[in-house]
This record gives sequence, structure tokens and C-alpha cells, in this order.
Amino acid sequence: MPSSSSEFIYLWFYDLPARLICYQQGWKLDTAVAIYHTVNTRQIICCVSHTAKQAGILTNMSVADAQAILPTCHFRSYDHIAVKNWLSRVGEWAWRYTPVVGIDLKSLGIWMNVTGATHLVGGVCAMCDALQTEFNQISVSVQIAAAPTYGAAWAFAHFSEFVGITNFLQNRPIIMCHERTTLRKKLGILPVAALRISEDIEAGLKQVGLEQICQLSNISAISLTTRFGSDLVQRLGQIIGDVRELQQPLTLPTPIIASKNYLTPLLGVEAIQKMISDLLDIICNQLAQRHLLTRHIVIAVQRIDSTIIRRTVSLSRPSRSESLLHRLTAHLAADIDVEFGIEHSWIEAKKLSTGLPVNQAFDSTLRKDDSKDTLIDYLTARIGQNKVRQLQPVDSWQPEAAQRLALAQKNTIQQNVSDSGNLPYWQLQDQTDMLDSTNLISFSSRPLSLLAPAVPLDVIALLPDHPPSMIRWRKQNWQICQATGPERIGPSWWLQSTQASKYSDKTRDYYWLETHSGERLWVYREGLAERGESVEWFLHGFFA
Amino acid sequence: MHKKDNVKCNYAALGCISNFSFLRGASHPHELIETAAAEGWSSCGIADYHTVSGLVRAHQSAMEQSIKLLCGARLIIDCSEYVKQSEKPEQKESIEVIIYVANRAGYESLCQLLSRVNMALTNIPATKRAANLYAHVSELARLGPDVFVIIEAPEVITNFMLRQCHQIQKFVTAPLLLGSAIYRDGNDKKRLQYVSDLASYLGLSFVALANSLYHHSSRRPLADVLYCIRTKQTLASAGKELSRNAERHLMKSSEYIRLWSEYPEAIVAASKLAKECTFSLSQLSYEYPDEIVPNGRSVMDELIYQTWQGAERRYPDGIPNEVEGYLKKELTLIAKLNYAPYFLTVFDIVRFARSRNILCQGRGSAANSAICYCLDITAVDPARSSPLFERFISEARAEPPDIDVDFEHERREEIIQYIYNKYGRDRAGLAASIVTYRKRSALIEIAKVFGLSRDIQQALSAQVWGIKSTFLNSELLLAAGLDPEDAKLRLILKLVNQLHGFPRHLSQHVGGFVIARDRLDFLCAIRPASMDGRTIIEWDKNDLEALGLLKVDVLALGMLSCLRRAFDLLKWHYHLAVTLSSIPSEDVDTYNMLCKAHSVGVFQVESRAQMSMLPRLQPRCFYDLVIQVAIVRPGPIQGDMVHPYLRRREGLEKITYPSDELKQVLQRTLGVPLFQEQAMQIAIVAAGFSGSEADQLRRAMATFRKNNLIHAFQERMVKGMVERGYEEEFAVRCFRQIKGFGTYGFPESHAASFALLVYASAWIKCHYPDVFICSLLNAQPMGFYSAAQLVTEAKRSGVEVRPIDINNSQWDCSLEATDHGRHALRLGMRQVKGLKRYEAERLAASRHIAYQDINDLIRKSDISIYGLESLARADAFNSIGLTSRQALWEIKKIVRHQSSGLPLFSFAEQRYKTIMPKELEVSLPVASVGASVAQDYLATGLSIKAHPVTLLEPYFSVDGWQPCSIALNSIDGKKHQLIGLVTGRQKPGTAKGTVFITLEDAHYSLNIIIWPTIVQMYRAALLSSHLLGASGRIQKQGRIIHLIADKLVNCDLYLQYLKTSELKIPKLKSRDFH
Repeated sequence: MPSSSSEFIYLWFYDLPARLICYQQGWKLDTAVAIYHTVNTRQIICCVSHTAKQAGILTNMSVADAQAILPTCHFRSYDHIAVKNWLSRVGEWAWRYTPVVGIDLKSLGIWMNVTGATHLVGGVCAMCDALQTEFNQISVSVQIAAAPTYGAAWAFAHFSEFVGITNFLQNRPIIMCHERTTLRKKLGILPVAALRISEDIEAGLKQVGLEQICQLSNISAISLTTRFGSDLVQRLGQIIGDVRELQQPLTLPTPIIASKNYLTPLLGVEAIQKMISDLLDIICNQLAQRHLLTRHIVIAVQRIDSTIIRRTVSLSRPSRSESLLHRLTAHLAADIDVEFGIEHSWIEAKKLSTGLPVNQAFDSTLRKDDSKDTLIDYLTARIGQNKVRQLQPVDSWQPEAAQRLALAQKNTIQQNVSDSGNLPYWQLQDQTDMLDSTNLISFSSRPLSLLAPAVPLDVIALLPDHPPSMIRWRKQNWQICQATGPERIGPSWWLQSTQASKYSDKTRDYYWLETHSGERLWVYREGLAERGESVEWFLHGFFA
Repeated sequence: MHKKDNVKCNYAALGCISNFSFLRGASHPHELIETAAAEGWSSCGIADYHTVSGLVRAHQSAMEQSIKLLCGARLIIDCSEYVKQSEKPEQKESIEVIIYVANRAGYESLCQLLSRVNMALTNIPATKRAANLYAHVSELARLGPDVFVIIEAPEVITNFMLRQCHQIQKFVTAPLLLGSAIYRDGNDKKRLQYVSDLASYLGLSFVALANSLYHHSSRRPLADVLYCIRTKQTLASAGKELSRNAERHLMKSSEYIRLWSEYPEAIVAASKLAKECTFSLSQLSYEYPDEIVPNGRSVMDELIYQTWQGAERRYPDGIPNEVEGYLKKELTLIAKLNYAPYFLTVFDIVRFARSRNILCQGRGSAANSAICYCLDITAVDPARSSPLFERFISEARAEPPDIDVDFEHERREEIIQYIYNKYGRDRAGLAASIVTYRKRSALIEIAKVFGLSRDIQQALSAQVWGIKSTFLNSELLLAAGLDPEDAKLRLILKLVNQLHGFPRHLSQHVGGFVIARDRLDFLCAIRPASMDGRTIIEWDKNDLEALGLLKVDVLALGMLSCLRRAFDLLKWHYHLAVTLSSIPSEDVDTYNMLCKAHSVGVFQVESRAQMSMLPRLQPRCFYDLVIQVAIVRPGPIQGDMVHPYLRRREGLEKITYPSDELKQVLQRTLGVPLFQEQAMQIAIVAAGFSGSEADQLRRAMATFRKNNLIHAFQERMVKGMVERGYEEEFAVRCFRQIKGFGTYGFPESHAASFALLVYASAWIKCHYPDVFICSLLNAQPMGFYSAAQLVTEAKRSGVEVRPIDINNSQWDCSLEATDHGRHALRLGMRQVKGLKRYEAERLAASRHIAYQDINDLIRKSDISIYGLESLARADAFNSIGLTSRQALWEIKKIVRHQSSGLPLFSFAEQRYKTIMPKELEVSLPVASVGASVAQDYLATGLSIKAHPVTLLEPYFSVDGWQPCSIALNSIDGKKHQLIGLVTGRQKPGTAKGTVFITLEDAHYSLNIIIWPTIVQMYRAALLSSHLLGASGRIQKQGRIIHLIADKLVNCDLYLQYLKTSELKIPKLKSRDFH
């Protein structure tokens, strides 16, 4: 039997998914938003914002119906992961009130076992108020309920309208802890759904007219069990506190951390260098023991004036290679201004993942790529995050649009996920097989770099679509001895209308030219002579 | 497309892909053909992926443009050594070949090849068929020497190609060629060189292909969009898979010659191929099956014999002279055009149906003839209506007659199986129906391709209501948060308009059978239908008509099933033997009832529009019913013929005729043309059209696209009529009417056939409402009204309705004797949701003596728990003294005991039971009337305990609402606030945005008219309420009562008073937007 002083608080974030979408999109909080999930190809609304609710959109409606009611409403699918992340974060935050906190993803809530912890903030009422204030400040809608059992707290939070909370916007916590005598009575008026029973049982109870919890109390447990199974009776016991309920609280992952105190303040670059590498060795050992890899290292030192200085190092792919970590942190010692010395230092490994480091001896394809990643990591560690960029190919026929600059470190990670580079070698396609299917006559090669903008040319060429026989550029005449083409490239018609100025809407004919003096050029003609358009020539690049 | 280049060179555009290669080609066949003609090609070869379904349309267009059409198809050939079914499509080494047919034999072998490939997909689910459309290379071996096989070099040539060519060469005995096209990807020179070299190495001739995906370069965006729809991508993600340029259009022939100038032999090969392909679809002559004639008599003799035999049966007192004249004239024409087998085929099917006692009735142009009356195909006496001979069979065109036969919808399958059995599956198949993109579906697909989010997709598609929508209303777009000036939106809408009307897939026609003398796959490729055991041919009814192929329409009609049941019930309960033709005619009571618009459930005239027309038209004889059926149609409404007719009928307007010659035509309808035949006769008599020209005119209206033709006809007709001294306004009106008829044709013959069913059903309803409602309920789902409304109607007609009960009900609703003359209606277990038919039938069959309790029921009928629960929810245990809740409480206990089926557990259970204390009596909460009514609606879709509106009256009357039957006793112009259950919402295309709603309470169904401005203001209430409050003014004209609404309120909140707590509000069914 639980002790009589058990106290649970349940926080129900009833419009959380809709609210998260508003944050994500930067919409005002009174935007009409409805969140749907898909049930057998039907899209059913599962959460609505306050504005949408006022307009008449209810949960369990289909999207098509809701659309008819409020055409301006935004519809988004339920983002399971975002909700889970948010609840987990809030759950971790709630550790400040009690160590026993859990998240209830299924019904969008967080529960806290605050038994023996309420006196720290002045009682359960004060704790609820404090929580309410915190969430009011960040304008998150929540219904808080406190009760002597988990089941009752859950029930009151979800069915607050039955105990006098008519309007959610009042944001008033429900506290039933000190009224154990009236608890049974108050629970009695709640609908049977407040028992957290399956939908089948709920529907079965309603069909025989049993709709409130108090109606069940007149019926013997045996009658109920023979009809609805033991779950129902168990839930009845749990909500009142006669039966213990097991829960899984959140647990803190053990951090990988190494720290050291110094009796005499540590001074000098070499000493600090030594300190870092010692601590890194400990970290690497810990990682190896627990079969973990890291992608983020935080190095922190505390100076004797109590200032804490932090430096971070990020990795493109998870690793626990000592040599790599040493190399990436080598420059840090000189970088830290220790003034009069440091008395405490620690290193923490974050963004942990399980797995073995790739054994490079097995797979020659990975080695090359790895070295690029290492270079990027090294440069990033030296120059700073978000400063190293890399050209990435873009899948487009338009030569100008065929690449873009992107953050190097972030991209290598994405690439690793998508390309076949991290397939085990035995799953890679047979090289000979690949050769067999290659294009026999491909000639779509492009120059390594383009002239931007393309240079206008004077050209002698036959109309409508013959390659130039001579071009004039920088007051010089270039005789063409060989030409291939045309490759005709039309505009990206779907971008045209929106970004008219950025791309030309004319079709181009590209030619590969070779001059007598050996230069190889990539030129194009804009406009189709056979359709009577005016024609202009441009030089767009050189081949090596 | 203007003709610039009139010099016809002998050049052939080979390998063109039309939009019948679904989601590949971006132009209609006729667009390709027209462009080919305009751009100076002498022949055009359309070759779609694995289908010949686009060829007929191309053929028609080619005849008009006088350009040669080469018939062919494109196949994806799987060149692997062995047939491996399990392999994924993307792993197959495939190459495309194009097959063109030289003559009829070649065409037959192509159709057979396509049929074999299609039929191999029978076991693959319909959605995955497109991805598995491969023909194994060995299939090509069966092609005869009458086809040309062109191997198409792919855009990207790989090392596979040589091996694949060898493989194909090994199998193909037909003339083989190697073709390539120009793609302008920078590799053209190399590709042509390679293919040319390969051709000479393999000893094949090199041929130039056009490979056009679209007729004009402006269709490139659409082709890209189609690619994305096909591969389920967005434009942003497709990248280089999209086209790089717009060069896949059908270019000018001169331009094409210039591009191919280095390989003149390829151009010569193409034109040589075109010259040798002499096949044209017009060579397909149809041959009738010959099973229909018994021993030795010729087909015509048999028809003559059967006709005169039938005539004697029909007219025992002697054949009227007039009819004899008709018969002779018709028989001569049939003999001349050799249509006797067709009539005998239909006669054979009808005879079979009659022998099985299946009700059937023919309609359609040819059905309106004396012959069909004598052959028992129709029941409309030619002596009573004058059939129009020109519509019967048009002599000028070799076009088959058209008879549709309706059968009882539940027994049509018997007829279909009869046809399959008689002619065999390789000779009989269903016609296809080509499903095309409508604006809404096109919009949703394109919005997806552009990567628009779901709510914008929805907001956009919400702008499209029905087919004839005024698309892009900028106010509505703004209200939906979209900028109507946005360039991307404009682009999307442009593409939507292009995609609108594109064929999307082939589906099966409702009942059009094509029966061939020889194998069907000599005529056209056949493919499996989505329904098991059915095959369809690739052409739809327009295509068949264009080629003059015979089609017998075997259709299903729910009302015939209903009438069959009613006749059976009459015989059983009232000892009255009636049939369709023996119902007492011209019964005054029946017409009285119809004049009062008491027509719920009566065939055809039960809709809202028909019901409001009945009191105005006041039908008093059979012919009035014919008019009644035909007048509420888009044709007469658009032609503005309704009001003049009504005015003349009520004597408010003088009956005049534009001329004496037209008096003959229009006398029956008081000088106002109402039927399709009349409109055509006007064209003949007044505008000087020949009979077949008039029929052409009608067809021009019915078939797609021919806008310029319609205009020419209009000019001709109006001019012709004005020349003959008619008013221009009348001429324009007549023409508009023909235009309206075009799409929703309602000829007199149809109307007459339908009117017969109207009369029959009305007669039964009037004299035996118990029988009528009972058979209607048993024929559900059909008609306009739900079971709940039909039961309400039964009560209003004074029929006692008894509840569903395990000791009294059958599966079907039945009649029970009462003290007074009329029978009571016992609801059947078919109303119980979730109950299986066989369980209900077993329950009824094992009921030798009444069931005593639930355990007795389980023991004797072995009913499943699920079935028991369904019955309990439907409150069917009253005769053993249990309420719905009590029954469920008992059943729940039984479920638990049965579900633990393991031996050890059941042993424990037994032990447990012996020591288990006896269960205490539980008193369950008693359900309120409201709660049980709501429960009834949930479980059976209707309740006979009370009407919800009656129960709620105390609640809503407090707020000033009144039930809608108040309108009955109100006066014109009075304001009311009325409330009722929504039983129907309609937004007819002819009403320009006005919405009609039907509200119902226990006594009356009231029509609410909502003007478009009010619709916009109260959209949410209009669309989502079950219980609707409407305030506005009553409009009363004679017996017709409407409410013109100025405000609508969603009153669903009152429904919660039906329940004690927040139980689910029952979903009350309404018939929406038809």
C-alpha cells in the first residue's frame, strides 16, 4: 500500500503539437492550426489550437470536413519526434522539482512524483503555482493537476471540465491532495474514460449505460472482471490508490567526463597541452570501455579567478581515435588565456553514438573520403564553426545552378547517411558490373569552373545551329578546328515565373570547341534561330 | 496550327507518343495528328506503350486531316535469358521496341501480343501493373512477317545494347529495323554514328524516328509534370531526371530532314516503311456471331419470323395498320444494313432473362421501334407514341443500332455469365471506359508535384466544385490565403487546364459487351479488368461507335429489383398477380398522389427537382409522365423550354406553332420541343437538314472537342430556319437545346421506358404502401432516400412499422398480417450494422420455436459473438424481455467465457466457477428515450421509437426554434426559425451556386433554398451540421413550400440532449451534393 502522503502532479499540454508548429513556423499563437494523423488512409484531426477550436474544428474530425468549416486553417501532420523531444526536454527541466519525473507521450503529458519534495517550495499548492507560472511565462498551455495517485492526477488533468474548470484559458491548477476523503466523490463524477482504459472497454461500458466512474462502484469486481477483464478493476484500484502502479521515470544518461583538480595553479602552454592530452586519454578509454563514439568534445578550464573558459571540437563522423582527437585539440593550449593559472579542468564527450569505428584496413574506399573529413574537421577546429564551406553538386541541367556553397561539416555528415560510402565493402556493387552499364557515348562533361557572368563573344557561325568557325575574344581571333554539340538546355521553367530575373528564359545551345592553338572552350548560343529569336554568343568556361 | 508548309513530302513521323501512354505523352492523339498534317508530314505513326487504345481517336483525326496514320504500339522488352517473374522491374535489362503493322494480319498479331502481355498481369494487383509492364523477348517470336519491328536506341546508349539487339534478332522473324531519334543533348552526332554503325554490323536498316512526346514545344512543362506524377517526385527533387529541353515536340518535317541530312538512308527507310504499312482501322469490319440462329434458317428469316410471331402475341386483336407499316419499313432497313444479328442477339439475351424470371426493359434509340416492342425488348407500344425513324438507325453511316437493356441489379451477374458461357471468354468482353483527369484530380496531382503543402492543396481544390466550376475565383483564393496574382499559381492553373481531360487509366464500362464472331483479340487488345474473371477491351464506347462495332449494353437498374420484390410480395400477401405490363393503367388515385408530390421512393420523380415539378405539371395520363421524366433535365432547362411549356399547359399562354409543318412535330408537347427527337426533327423539317445530318449534329454535341464544328452547325441551322421564315430567337433557342441534349440526352424512347417504371412504382406506392416500402428497403442501397427516411414515409402513409426482433425478423424486411386489411412492416435484420447475412439467415432458419433466452439462441443458431452484439445494439432482444443494455451485459459475460479457449485455462475456469460466488443482480442505468433513439441510429441507421426532432423540441423551443413541419400551416412570406435533420444537400450545376437543403422532422420534409451569398456566409454550418437551424421567409405557391434562408445555424449541440453524457453524436446520413 502506498503511504498516505503520496503526491503526484500531472501536466497535460493539450495543444502542444499545434503550438510547436506555431513556434516552428514563426506564426502568431492565435493562428488556426489543426494537427492530423493518418488512420487507414483517412486523415483525422488529433489536436487543434484554441482559435481553430473556437471556429468549430474538433478532434476526431476528418481533415476534409475541417477544411470545409475553416478553409484558412493550417493543417499539419503530427510530428511525433518534435513532441517527444520537447517533452523530454521539459522532463529533464522538471528534475529541479523532484527526481522522479516521467513523460507520457501517448497523452501529451509529464508526470512528477513529488512525494516528500513539496515542502522545499512550500507545499504542493505552491509547487503547482510555480509550475503554472513558469509555463505561463513561455506561453505554453497546460492543465496541471495534483492528486494522491498517478491515475487520479492524470484523470483530473484530462477531464478538468468535470471538476469546475470550464475554460482552459483560465490556466488554474487542480489540487486534490489534501482532500483524500472527497477524492472518491470527485473521481466518481468523471467519465469512465478517465480510468485510462482501452477504447474497447470504454465503448463496452458505454453501451451498457455505464458512463461514470461512480456507476461502477455499485457493481461487484467479479461481474466487471467476467465481462471486461482484469484491467478495468485494476485501473479502478489504481486511481483510488488501493493498487500500486509501476511507472518508468526518465533516467539521466551517465556522462563521459574526465576532470582534474590542481593544488598549484597550472601555468604554461606545455602543461596545459599535457593536461588536455591526459584527460583525452581518459575520455578515449571510457569510450572504448563502453563501446561508444563521440562527435563533440567540450574542453573547459576554471581559472583561479573562477572564470570558466570553454572550447569545443566537432567531428564529422563519430570516432574515438586518440590520434585524431589529439590532432584536433593540439592548437587549443595556446589559444586559452590562463592568466594566473587554472585550478580545475574537465573534458566532456557529447553526441554519443554506439558502434565500432570503421576499420580502415578493410575498406579502401572509405580511406580517401575519411581524409577529407579529417581535413574539414581540422580546418573547422582551427577557423571556427560555420566558417568552412564546400561546393556541393546540385542536380540541375542549368550550369549556373548546378552547384552551391554549403557548410562543409554539416554536409559531410548528411552525405555519409545518404551515399553508399558507408556500406560494408561486400555490399558495394561489383566494379566490373558497373563498367558494363556505363554510357558508351557520353559527352556531357562540364568545365571545372564557370565564368560568372558568361563573357559575350563575337562569333562567325552558320545559322541556325552550326558551331562557330571562328570566335573573337579579347581582341584576338580564335580559329576553331574542332567542335561538338549542340547540347540544348532549356530554362528551368518552374523557377522562371518566380525568379524571372535570376535565370534567363531563353534556350541555349552549348558547344565544346577546340581552337588551333589548343585551347578548349565551352561556349553557348542564346536564342533559337530556327524559331526566329535573336542570337547571342557567350563563353562560359575552359577545359583543362 | 496554321498551314505554313503545304508541300507534302513523303515523310513519316515514327514513334510518336500520345497521352494514352499514361503519364508519359503530353498531347492528345488528335493534337499530334493535326500538328503532323500542318507541319508537312505525309504520315504519322503513333505508338503508345503497350496499348492501342489511343489509335481510334488518332484514326478519326487522321481521316479528317487526310493524313496517313500508321498503327502501332511500343513495347518494353525484357531481354533477360529466362522469364523471371520475381525480379524487380528496375533490375531488368530492358529495351524499347516499336511495332508497326503492315496489314490486317499484322494488326491481329499485334493485338494478340498485347493481349498476352496484358493478361499475364492478371494476378498482379491493378496498382502495380504499370510497373510490371514488360514483354519478354521470346514473345516477339510469335509476330508474323506482317509487322515491322523497330529497335529503338535509347537516349543513353549502354554496353547492353549490342547484347539486347542480338537477343531480339534471335527471336524476331518479322522485318527488323534499328531506329534512333535526335534529342539535342550534345551526343546526337555520336549516337547516330554509333547506331548507324551498329545497324550495318547487324545487317539491319537504319530508320529515323521522331519519338515526339508532345505536339508543341510549349508542352514541355506538362511532360515534366507528368514524369513527376508517374515517379511520385516533386519538381524540386527530380533534378536531372526532368527534360533538359523542349526538343521532344513534333517538329516541322523540313527541319527534321535538315537534322537528319547526314543519314538520308534513315529517312528513306522511314518513308519506305510508311508506304508498306497499308493497314487502316477502317478495314476492321465487324462480323456478327452466328450462334443466335437455330437450325438452318437465315438470320433475316429468323428475325422476320420472330417479329411477326411477337406481333401476333402483342396484338391478339389484330395488328394495327400503322404498326404493320412500321414493322415493314423497319425490317426492310434492317435487311438492307444487315443488322438482323444484332437484334437477334439482344432478343436472345432478353429471352434468357424472361426464362429466368428476371425483370428487364430496353431503352436507347433503336429500342424505340415496333420491332423491339414485338420482340418483348421494350414495353412501350409504338401505337401510342410515334417513333422517329431517323433516330432508329441512321442509314447514311454504317453505324450500329443502339439498345440498352436494364436488368434487376441483383441478378445482372446471371446475364453476364450467360453471355460469357454462350460466346466464350475469348469472344465476349466488356468495353473500356476511359477515366480522364478532372480539374480537381489534376489540381491535386500538380500541386503535389510543385511541392505545395496539403492545406494549400486543399484550399485550391476547394475552389473546384463539380465539373462545370468557375475556376479561380480571386475572392475565394484570397479568402483561402492565396495570392491570385502569384506567378506560380498562374503556372499551376495553366497546367491544370492542360491536364484536364487527359486519360488517366482504363476502367471497365458498366455493361457494354462486345461480342465477336472470331477471337476478340483479333479486333483489339484485351486486358484483365480489376474485377475477377472479367476482361475488357481497350476501346471505350465512343471508339467502338466510331469503328462501327456492335455493343450490347447490359445494365443494372435497382428499381427493377425493387419491382420484382414488390410483385412477389403482392402475390404472396395479397394474392395478386401483376407484371409490368398488366398493372391497371391510367389509375386516377395514382395520379392524384403524384400531383401532390407524394413521390418518395417512386422511380425517377423522387428527386427534389422532380418533386417540385410534379404539382406544377399535374400529370394526369401516361404521356404526362413521359414529359415529367424528360422535362427536368439539363437539355430543356438550358434551352429554356420548361417555363413556356408550363405556361401553355396551365392555359396562361396560347398554344401556337411556328409553322404548320412543325405542328406535326410539336403537337404532343404543346408546341415546345422537349425531346431530343423533336429537336432533331426541327432541324430536319425547319432547317432543311437531312436525317443523317441531324444525327451528325447531335453526335457533334455529344463527342468531345469539336468546337469549330458546333459553330458551323449553329450557323447552318439558324440560317436555314430564318430562311424558312422562323424567328431567329426561336432558332437559337432550339439550337441551345440540342446543345444541352448533347451531353445529357433524353430522347422520348428513354423517357417512355422510364415513365412505365414511374407509373408502376407509383401505382404500388399508392395502393400498397406497405409492399412498396418493404421492397424498397430490401432493394437498398438505391434511390435518393435513406432507410430512415423510407421508414418515416411508411409511418406517414399509415403503415405500422414493427421493430427488429430475433424472434420475428428475417434478413429482409417482411410483411406481417394485422387485424385490419393492411399488413404491418417488420424490419429485417439487414438493417443491423455489422451483422452478416448468412448469420441472420441461419438465425431465422433455426427458429422453429421462439428463442427463450440468449443461451438458447447461441446453442441453436451458432451465431458469432460479433453478430450477437450487433443484434443487441440494435435492440432486437425485446421479445425475450431484455433491453439493449441488458442484452449486451449478458453477452459480455459469454464473450469472456468463450475467449479463454485453452484446455488448461478452461479447466481452471470450471473449477473457478464452482467456487465462484453467485453473481449479484446488477441494475444497469435505464436508457432515456433519447439515448435509445441515438443508439438505434448508430446500430441500424433508423429508429422507430421517435423522431429525434420531436424529442429535442422541448430544448430548442426554449431558444425560439420551431420544427420544420410548421411550414405546412404557415402563410406565404412569413418569417420563421425552423429546425430539422439535414437529409440532403444539393448544388445542381444548372442553379449557379444556389444550394438546396432538405430538412426533415417527424411529419414533413421541407426544402430550404440558400442563395450563393448566404452559402458563402454560413459555409461551415451548411456543410457540417446534422441538425440545422434555418431562419428565413416561407415561399408558398400552391402546394409547393420552400423556405428562403437568410441565416443558418449549426444546431448539433442540441443533439447532445439525446444522451445523458458526451456519448458520440450519431452520424445521421444525408445525401450530399449530387
